[in-house]
Amino acid sequence: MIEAQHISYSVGEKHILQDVNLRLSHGEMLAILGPNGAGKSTLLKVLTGTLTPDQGRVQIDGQGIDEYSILQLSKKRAVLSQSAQITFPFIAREIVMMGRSPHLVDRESHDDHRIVDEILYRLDAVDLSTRMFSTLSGGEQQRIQFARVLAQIWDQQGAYLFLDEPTSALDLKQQLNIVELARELSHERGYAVCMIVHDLNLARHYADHVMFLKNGRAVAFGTPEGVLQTRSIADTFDIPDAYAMKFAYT
Amino acid sequence: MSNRFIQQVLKTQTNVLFLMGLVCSGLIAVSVGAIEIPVFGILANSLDQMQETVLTQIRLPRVLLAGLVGAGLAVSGAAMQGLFRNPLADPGLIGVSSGAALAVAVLIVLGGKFAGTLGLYGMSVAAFSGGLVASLLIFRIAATSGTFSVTYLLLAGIAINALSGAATGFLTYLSDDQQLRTFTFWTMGSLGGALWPSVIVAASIILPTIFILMRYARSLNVLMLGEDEAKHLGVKTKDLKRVVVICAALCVGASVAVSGMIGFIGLLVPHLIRLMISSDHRQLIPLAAVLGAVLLILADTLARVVVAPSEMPVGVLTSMIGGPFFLWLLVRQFSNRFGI
Repeated sequence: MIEAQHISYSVGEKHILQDVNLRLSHGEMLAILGPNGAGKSTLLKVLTGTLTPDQGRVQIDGQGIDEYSILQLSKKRAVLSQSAQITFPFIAREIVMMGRSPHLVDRESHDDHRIVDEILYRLDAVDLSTRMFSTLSGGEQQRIQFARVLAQIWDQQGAYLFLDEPTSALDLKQQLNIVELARELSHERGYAVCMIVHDLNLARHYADHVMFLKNGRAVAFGTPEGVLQTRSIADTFDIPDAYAMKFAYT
Repeated sequence: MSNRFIQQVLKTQTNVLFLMGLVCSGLIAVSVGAIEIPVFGILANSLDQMQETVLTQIRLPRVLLAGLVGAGLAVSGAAMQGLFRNPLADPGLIGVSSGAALAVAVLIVLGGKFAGTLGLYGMSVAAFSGGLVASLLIFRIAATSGTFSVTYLLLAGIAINALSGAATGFLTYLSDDQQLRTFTFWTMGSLGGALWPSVIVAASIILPTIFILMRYARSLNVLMLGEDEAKHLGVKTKDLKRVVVICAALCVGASVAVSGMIGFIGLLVPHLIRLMISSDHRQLIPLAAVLGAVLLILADTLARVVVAPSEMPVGVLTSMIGGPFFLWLLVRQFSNRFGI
């Protein structure tokens, strides 16, 4: 279980996060939504241990996140961020194999290759894997990056998977593929999945919990039925009720 | 499975090929020159007195030094490019070499007798410190924009090059005739002064740093994904950056101390390996070392031969080849980015 208590984070005078609380168990999926600049990515960075909050603490499996070494943490949780460009010529498969890096002693073992093959097959990316990464389209690159992230925790039960707008560069079918696979893995392997998405429908269909973040505060947190109501959607995203209604549970 | 086996065989073949290239270029380099030393004679150990003296006292140290400096420059280039995640980060271009040269110039002019007693190691220490200061400065400037941007990196390099150029120029103005001659040697880069002591100094600094960098090869691979990503994958990025900056400055410092400024090897060699073989640093670093050695050995041989009996500073030669290559690289990068 991952638990965040009273998380506050500010840069200078600006409060990015204020008193955010959340808890996510194995096998569950949490969707974080909110307008741009609400602090979603910052919250994710705090949860993954990239940023240390000014106040509050994050616990993973009952232990403070700062008590884990960076290597221990890398075997427990994987993060798909909105990644930077890769400037050097790598073959897509090499990128995926980099996900195995925390587990390698020296060279890639037979198991590592098996894991990479399995993931590429599951993601329907076998054909992509032999191509140069830089020649892939945005969506294909995103799929390879997702494969790389999965490779990191594929053989770990009860790992934590964080996805920062995993669907931003993808078409509808690929969006479904990625979120659906994350959903399956949460059941299959007990992953706790925490993702930032913009699509309310995606959150409604797949997530167990939904959090609305606005101006650094968690304005709503609960089941999709509870959170995705006309009132809270309209307030969080500053849109007219008539429009918000279309996304709400009825 | 069989695919992986083929790859393994190819890898071994490449390594063998590269090592053969190294041996061949070494043999060619020791045999060619004002006094011809037949390769067959070396192998059969049937040289006359004079040939043997030339071989052991002049050619061999020079070729070894060329190999060491070439390997050191190529590996530090590969490591710096990995660190900055940018193929244009050459120690010469971003000002590390000129920082090192400036420190050596300061030592020569202002150090006086002190410099003489410290000898080559003193030069190396000065060059290393100069290189390190320059690297750290560039590192800080490039990092202010959050990510390392090419623009910041190269602009900072230009500024540092200009600054150390001006400072070196000022020192030139202050210097006497003897010091002036020594300067010319620094700015152009030459292996003409190669003697066994320089070989030992270079070897004792460059070889260990190459091995240290090789141990960080896998972490450098992961760093290509981005700094946060590397952290997520369990890499201690702070330690990694520190090790790479120090090792690269050591390599460049040692090279500058024994041979002055030799440009473009650090840019050209890693890029060729990436194009031809792999960007995987576990292969890239050792192969860059070998190819760097081969290229500088051949370039130095050429520099000795083309204007014989006089000789050309090898730095001039590498820049003559490297300059156009760099332009080509720039054009290619831009046309990739804008789809021209």
